[in-house]
Amino acid sequence: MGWTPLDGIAERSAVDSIRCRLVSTANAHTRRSVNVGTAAHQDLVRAERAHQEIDHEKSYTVHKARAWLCSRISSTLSNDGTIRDSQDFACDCLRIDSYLGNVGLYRRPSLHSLLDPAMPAEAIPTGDGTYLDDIPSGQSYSGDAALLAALRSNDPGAYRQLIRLQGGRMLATARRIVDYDEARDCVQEAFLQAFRNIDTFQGKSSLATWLHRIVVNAALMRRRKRSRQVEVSLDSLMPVFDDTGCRIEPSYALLGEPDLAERTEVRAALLDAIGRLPHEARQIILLRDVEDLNTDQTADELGITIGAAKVRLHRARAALKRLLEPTFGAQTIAKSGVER
Amino acid sequence: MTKIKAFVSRMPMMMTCGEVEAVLLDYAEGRLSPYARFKFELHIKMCRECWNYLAAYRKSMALSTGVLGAADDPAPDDLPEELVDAIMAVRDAEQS
Repeated sequence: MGWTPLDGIAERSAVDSIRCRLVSTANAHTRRSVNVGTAAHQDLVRAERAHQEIDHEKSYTVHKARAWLCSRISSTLSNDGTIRDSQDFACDCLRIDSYLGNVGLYRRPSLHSLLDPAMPAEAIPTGDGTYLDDIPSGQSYSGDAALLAALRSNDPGAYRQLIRLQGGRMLATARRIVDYDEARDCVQEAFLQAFRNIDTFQGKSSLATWLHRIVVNAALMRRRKRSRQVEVSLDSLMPVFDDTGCRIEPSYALLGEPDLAERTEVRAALLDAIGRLPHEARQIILLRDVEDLNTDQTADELGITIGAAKVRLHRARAALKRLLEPTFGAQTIAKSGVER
Repeated sequence: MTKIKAFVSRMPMMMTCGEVEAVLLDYAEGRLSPYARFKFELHIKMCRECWNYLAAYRKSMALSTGVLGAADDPAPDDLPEELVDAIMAVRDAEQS
């Protein structure tokens, strides 16, 4: 194969390609051509070669995943070249997904959430050589995939583990937005909201990041309620143009101090401003700035087109800029050229 | 001044402020093609209003990312055990 090392994007794309094929195979639950598995194998080989140039440890992990998939493909083949047991194959796919996810090769939607919900929980591998059913009740789960599977199987121990694992961090985050008593309420509210929606969690970010976004949103809402601020209309905050199409903009811009985010009053003003945004605008800001999702992932998460996501994000950013101006804007910035 | 800007914006290669607005997010996130970026920057260099707008837009983006993002992640607090129990109690009540 005339393969050359890829840059990060192409490499991620190769791994994503594997995931898509594995998911489609796993979802099928019918006999499929082995071509699917073979193509996935080829992609793993490519990803492995790319990683050899970057990180020996990751390369080794991908190598292990490839070897595992290789052996499973051969053992699940029927004489006619179809996959003998698609559910068994799906379990192997999950294990590989776990390998790749654990070394941070890509941000993936959890395969668990994409698989047929009829798939029994005991068939779900945990990624460390055991299956979910092998774990006695009360034992801790390692990794997001295992914990998520346990949460979805309604294991109370898993819920308690998640609270203990993430609660302290969430409490600290909420406390930076509201006072301690309110922060406790926000954490409780965030966990209960997450538990109700655990089946819809798509795994584009980690469980920790997802929970972080929920608690930030809960705290912002509580802060807005406490300060009796009202939601603003985005239309009133959009840029203005004159009859000739020229922008009408005050001759000042936000202060350019590099440590602006460190200042308490700046943080407070920003949090108030975000809290005043309408739900859709606030949601997209949180997805981008808290969960660090890219445009495609954001669009997918919100169930809208990429174009619509871009427009929504731009309107939210424009509104946020306008809301911040009264606090920080009264200083002219010398025009010294375009920032690179 | 506005009339001069309106005239200039009709010259070849020049974008209007409205066209700049439509691709501003793509520019700020580095997603414009080299040609589109060149045209964008040509306009920004000639239009003080758009230059100010872009500077403020970028600053507010950086603030939002800085305050909300992972870089601002605080050290975890001690989680009171009674809070864990309270959350589990409400969850159990919702289940039953």
